Amino acid sequence: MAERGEHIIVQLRRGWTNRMLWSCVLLAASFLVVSVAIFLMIFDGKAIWIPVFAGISGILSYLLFYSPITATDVASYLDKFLPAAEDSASLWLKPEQELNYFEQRQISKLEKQFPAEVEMPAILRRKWKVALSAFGAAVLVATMIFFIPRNVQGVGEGMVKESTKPREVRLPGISEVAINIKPPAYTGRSARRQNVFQIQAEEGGEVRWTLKTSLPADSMMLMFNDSTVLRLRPSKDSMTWSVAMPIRKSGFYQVKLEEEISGFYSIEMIPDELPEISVHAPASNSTIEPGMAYRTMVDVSVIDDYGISATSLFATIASGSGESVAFREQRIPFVGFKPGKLRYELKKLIDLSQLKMEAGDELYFYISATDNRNNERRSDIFIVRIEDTAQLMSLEGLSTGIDLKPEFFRSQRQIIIETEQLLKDQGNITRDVFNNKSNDLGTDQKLLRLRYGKFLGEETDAEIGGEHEEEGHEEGHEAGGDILDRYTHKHDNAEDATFFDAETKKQLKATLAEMWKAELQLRTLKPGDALPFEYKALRLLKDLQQSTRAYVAKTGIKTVPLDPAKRLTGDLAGVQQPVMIRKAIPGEEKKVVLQRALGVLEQLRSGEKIADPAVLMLKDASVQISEKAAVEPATYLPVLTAIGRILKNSYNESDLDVAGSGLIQIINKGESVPVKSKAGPARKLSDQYFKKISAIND
Amino acid sequence: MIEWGTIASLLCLVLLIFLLWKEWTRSSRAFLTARLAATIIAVLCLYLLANPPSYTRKVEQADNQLIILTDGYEQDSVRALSGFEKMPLYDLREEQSKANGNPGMDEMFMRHPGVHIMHVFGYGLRAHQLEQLKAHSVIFHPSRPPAGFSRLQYKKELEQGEWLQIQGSFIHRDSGRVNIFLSHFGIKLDSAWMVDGVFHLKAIPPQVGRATYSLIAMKGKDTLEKQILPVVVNERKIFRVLMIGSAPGFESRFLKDWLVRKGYQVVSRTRVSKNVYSKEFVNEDRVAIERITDAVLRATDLVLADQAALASLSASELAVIWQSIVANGMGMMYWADDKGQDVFGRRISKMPGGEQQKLNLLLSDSTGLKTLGTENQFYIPAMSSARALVRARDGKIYASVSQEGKGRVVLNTVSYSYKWILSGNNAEYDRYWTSLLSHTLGRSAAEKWVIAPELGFVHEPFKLAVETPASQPAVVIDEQQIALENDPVDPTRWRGSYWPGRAGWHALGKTDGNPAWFYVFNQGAWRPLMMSTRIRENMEFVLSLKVKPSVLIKQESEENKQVPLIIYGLLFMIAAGFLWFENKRMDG
Repeated sequence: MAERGEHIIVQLRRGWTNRMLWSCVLLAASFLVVSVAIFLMIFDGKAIWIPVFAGISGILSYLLFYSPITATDVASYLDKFLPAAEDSASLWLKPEQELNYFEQRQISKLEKQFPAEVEMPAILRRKWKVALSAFGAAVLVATMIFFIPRNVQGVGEGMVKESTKPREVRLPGISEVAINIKPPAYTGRSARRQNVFQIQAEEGGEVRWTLKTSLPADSMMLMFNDSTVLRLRPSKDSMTWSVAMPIRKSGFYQVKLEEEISGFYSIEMIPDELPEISVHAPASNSTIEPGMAYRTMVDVSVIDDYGISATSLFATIASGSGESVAFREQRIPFVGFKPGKLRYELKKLIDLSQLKMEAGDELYFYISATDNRNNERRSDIFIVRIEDTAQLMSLEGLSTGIDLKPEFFRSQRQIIIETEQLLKDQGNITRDVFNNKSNDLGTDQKLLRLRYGKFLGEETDAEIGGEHEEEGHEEGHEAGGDILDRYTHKHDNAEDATFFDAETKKQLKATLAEMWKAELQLRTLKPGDALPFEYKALRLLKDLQQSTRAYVAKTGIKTVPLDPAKRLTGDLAGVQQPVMIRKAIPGEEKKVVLQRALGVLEQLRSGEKIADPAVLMLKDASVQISEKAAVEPATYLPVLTAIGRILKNSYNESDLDVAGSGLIQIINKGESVPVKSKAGPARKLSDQYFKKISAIND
Repeated sequence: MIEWGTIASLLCLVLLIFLLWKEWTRSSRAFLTARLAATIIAVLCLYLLANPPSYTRKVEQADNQLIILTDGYEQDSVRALSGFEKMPLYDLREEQSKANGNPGMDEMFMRHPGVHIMHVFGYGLRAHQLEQLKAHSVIFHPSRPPAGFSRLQYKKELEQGEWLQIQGSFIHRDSGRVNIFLSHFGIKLDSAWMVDGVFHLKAIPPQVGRATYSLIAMKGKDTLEKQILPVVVNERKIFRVLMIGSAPGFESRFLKDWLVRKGYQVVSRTRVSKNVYSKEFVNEDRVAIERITDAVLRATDLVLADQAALASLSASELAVIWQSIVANGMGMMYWADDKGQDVFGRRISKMPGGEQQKLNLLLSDSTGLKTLGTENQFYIPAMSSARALVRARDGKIYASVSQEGKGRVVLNTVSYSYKWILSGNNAEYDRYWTSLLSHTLGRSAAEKWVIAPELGFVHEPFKLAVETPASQPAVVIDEQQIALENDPVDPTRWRGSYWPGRAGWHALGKTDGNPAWFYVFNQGAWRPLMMSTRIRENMEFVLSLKVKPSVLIKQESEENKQVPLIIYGLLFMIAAGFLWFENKRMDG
């Protein structure tokens, strides 16, 4: 029956529509891929716009590719292109009751012979192919866009810049230019050749000019800004001229061919930089506390522009004290240093005991680096000091009797001595005794800390001197009370009311912190670990004591002997009246020359003829510009050239612009000065008025 | 009392009801509707004849009015004028192109002799054209001012070292920020973002002499407008300064060094002991300054002194100084203290609040300075005769200037300004003393030319005015002698005019030898600015007119009008005639 036929048509329609939709989707995808790639990669767009692109591509491909397929379309296609349909496929779409007998017969016949597979219409196949190839192409294009370097525009700009740079003007007689620049060997750079006169060369590099003239010439020379002249040597036919010169400084030069002089060409020297040394460790002044290992780590980085040939550490050891100081010098190489690289990260562990350093000795060292050109640079000097415990123990500073603090400090020293004794006795006494003693020392340390804490206005501890009255601390306790009474202001704030200034208090606090650490170690039965802290506390206390002292050198002065007869008479008869006359040419004077020249340029710009004084102003300015150009040829040489052309009266608008902008750059900024602004002229009328008024007032 | 209108309407109503009833009750039903309608119309017309309605109509006497079209008019705004179709049109732009210039309004008066009211559309008329319309009524319908610079104010002629300050506004109707650049030979001198349509640029001109800067408005990378800005910088005069000190001090020492660095001639006399003076001559030959005499002060522009030094001068010396100030326009600044009597009788007050002070000073242009620490600071009570030069934020005055005859006297109480230098704030010191001494120097009495307009164009008249004591000033511009007319009231004033034939710089040869420069722009330069200015001028002109055209129009338009009575009569006749005819027909 027709149901099957209708089913066939529906099936075909669905399949074809699907295919059409897919080709639409593919086309839309290819649009999307290309547009998004361009938008994101080239224009740096934001991803938020992608849905908009998707929408546009969808609509576009829908409009281009999509056309609805109806059942009638399918039937008429079958009728037209499928012989097996026998022009009767449209019968399937007729309602069954409208079919006449023959039609029914035809339908049943058709249903039997209708092929299972019907080829897709050519137009659909074509659309599918187009969509597929479009997608492939789109993916390809997108990948290309993706892989093209991002700085496409940058490259373009660079090229534009290069091309807009004014072309070098050569003398008409010169047909060929070859300049060979041979950098010095140590740079490791190869020689290069150029055909423009502007030169950029490494310091010490050799530049060889080889110039060919179109006709045999009599002479050719190079004129440099420092007024040196270099004659070129001709070949036999007087058409090829050459000369070589090492480059020692920046500047500019002109080529003189017979009587003709070219414009200015710059020589820019790339100077050789000294090696750069930065020391990351140790600090410029470091101390090794007693109890710490006698070692110091040196961490250095060395950089140079062409390569480093040698680096070493030079150490000076100072031992002894007072007049018996002895110095030893020693060069310490860095292990594993291989010359030639541009950058080094060097580390060296210096074992001070290996250098035979003892307590109280000092190590001074610096790092020296030499580059390939034998430029040497040295770092700052670094000092490593080993603290001398013996000096701390001495009573020398305390016996001077200025300070009344010694009673206190003895206790800390006592603790150190007892701790050292305890460590020495460790082998001979039992564990319990050792522990008890350590704990006792900890208690002593605590008491001492509390006593010093009182100076800082810390809480009073009733325990002090209570049950822990031990020998050696007694006197300290009493004296502490005395000092407290004497020195503390008993105001409401104990912190502020002490006798000490902020710096002393800070140091005192640091001392207390060290004492606390020592106490911790002692109480945890590790007297060995407590020792460095005890020493540090002692040293800080010593510093505290010393800090209040000042040394004033004894000097002898010679005064004019006083004349007692003249003294206190108030007679100034012989006193001369001081007079000072000076001529001060202000630094601005140079600036004013340039400022005036700038004014002259304006006259030229407005097409006025300039008078001789104005020409002189320009000449004055050009002297200053040439000084600048010798230092910074790249910036100021064009300015000098432009001014030169202006002075020769063969200039154009752009020369004025170049000269003007150069002058403004050198002037930088006008200086503000007090000015008298203009008013109306002196008027007889107002003068009269004023005179009358004054007369009335008088 | 019952009004006639009410009586008439009542009578007509009664009549209408009676007639309608009569028609309705007639046996013949033919044409009933038509008859009823005719009855109503007839009675209504009768009523209207008795009580004619009046209405106010806008009667614009179009033949009295004229539309003048100028640059930038908008067709829509012309259309919005009611009755524009009837008014004659006078296109000034056409006339301009015909005359190849800016013709007067004579042609218009000739062509339209009867006009009283002129509607001006567009950016408006030029000043000389407006002048001719003074006796008439002008209604100005301005167009929107064009986008671009709309206001500009700057000093065209500066002294070397003086700040160039440019203030202006810019009309920008699109979104986006506008950046205004001032540049010379392509180098940026200053730039500023435009805020609320206003910008402010500031630079010390790099050149001495003339320059045409570029004023550029940019939005992003787009140039919105680029205009030429001519600036003349006069080479500065080196002033001669006399410093009189009662004792060496840091303040005067630093100030002296500063003056020397700026290239001044400085003569200084400082007392170091009884009758012993330390004298210093910088950029100056030695002269006798033991006594301050007329000869010492003759070439001096500025005297800097402290109060004690002034007090130690003799009465004759003080008189000489005072005379120089009053008669020769010399400036004087002195540091005041609270000890002893001020020779000029000025009061100062001791400031409460300890010896150490932190001052936040403001200069006379209200720009602030960095905090300055001083000691034993005084301040000056406000005086009516003196103007504050340096104030603190709390309003206390620390330096004030008073005009004394031709010269100026500045009283200064700040004597620790050198602390700015010590703390490395050289720029603050620079600003402070530049401002203070500029005010002390006052104004120089030079021959001053006023050349109007500020921005003038080629083929347009320039007005020249000068005040000069010369008996017959001669002026030459571009080798062309300009005849000047003497002011009948003030014999020192002279006037003239000049029509430049070319754009660019023009030298005005003055009697004192130095040329005064002015710049003539090409036609079309600064167009947005000129148009905005012209709109303002036209608006001001319209406001200044004695005959207010709007009043005139209103009077005319409020005339009462009546529909001619004949219409009601005719309608009545037709309606009544129909009724009569129909009745006759029926009868027949």
